[in-house]
Amino acid sequence: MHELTVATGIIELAEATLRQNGMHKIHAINIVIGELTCVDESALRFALDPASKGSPLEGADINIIWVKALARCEHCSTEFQPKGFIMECPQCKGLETNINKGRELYVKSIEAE
Amino acid sequence: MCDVCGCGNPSETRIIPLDHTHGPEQGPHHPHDLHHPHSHLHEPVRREVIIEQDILHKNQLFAERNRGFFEARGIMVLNLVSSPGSGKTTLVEEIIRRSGKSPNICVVEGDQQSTLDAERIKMLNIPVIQINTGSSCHLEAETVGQAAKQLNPIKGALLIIENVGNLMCPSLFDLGENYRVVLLSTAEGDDKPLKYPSMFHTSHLCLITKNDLLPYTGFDVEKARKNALLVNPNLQIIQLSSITGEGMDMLMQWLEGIRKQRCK
Repeated sequence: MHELTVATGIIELAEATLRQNGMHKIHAINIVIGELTCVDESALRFALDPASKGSPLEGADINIIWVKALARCEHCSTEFQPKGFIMECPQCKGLETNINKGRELYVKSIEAE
Repeated sequence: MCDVCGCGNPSETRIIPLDHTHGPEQGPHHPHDLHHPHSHLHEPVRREVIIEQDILHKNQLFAERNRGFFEARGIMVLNLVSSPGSGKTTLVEEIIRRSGKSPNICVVEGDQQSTLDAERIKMLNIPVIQINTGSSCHLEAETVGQAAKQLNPIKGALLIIENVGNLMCPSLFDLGENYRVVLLSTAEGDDKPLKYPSMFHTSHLCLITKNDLLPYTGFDVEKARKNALLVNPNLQIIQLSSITGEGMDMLMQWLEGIRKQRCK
């Protein structure tokens, strides 16, 4: 259940931002997650619910923006969407690839007052 | 927009001689027409604040701090990851036994509960600290850093971190290690790299352990290799048994190589 650690990180970031901006209530939080991060959305929502109790994030809308994986073949430079962690280039069948997208795990913004 | 108080309601502007004061629930003080046709319940100012910060940045900061500490002391650090029961502790014991009379090795053990693994390592007169993670399924950089500082390894030491037995969660948490080593035992199944790819994808070395059980498990070594290389073509693979010693020489050579590299 690494999602509990992720949930705690989200709450800490939200609280710090709220404090720094002299705000007091969070209406919504926008979180970006890449599909290669091993973060499960339902487990994260499940963890956020009790973890945010009593925090400014309690009751806020949790908006999750998923980012599809995008890889680039080192041999032929083809950009493609890999199937999970299998990074086989559809063009030259090479496995040596760079992951350009899919590892994102960050809080984009909060909507607050 | 109302140009008297800016509340958003359309209005006709009129200049009037009377002032009035809003109550506390009615918003800011300003003079305007008593007959002014709009509500005084102004909308609170809701705005978007951009953060764009990594959720695991705290762990990453501690991992970088650990890396600095290890590098400054010339310590080589391995993070052993695998499912529970793949033979991590037995392997650590065997590495220690094969490292001469005074091996410069320290160990951090990670388990949800108990000090059983640390007690086994202590029996070999090796400095060891047990971390119990409780409800957490992985080790994090902060606690590993605290443990490493308590162990106080001397220059050139090998620090072995035995992570919590879990083939998924620890892959997300950098501990500041030099090498991540994933163990896959022949009792588990050759399809594990495809079922839990993130761990194999982020590892440097894969050890296929419990080679002595091969005749009984139906584990297909070639298939396991192929699956592991499919998710990580740069993965080095060593097949071994901590019990019979098969393949251990190759692992010890690999360890010798990386320690020399660090001492340069």
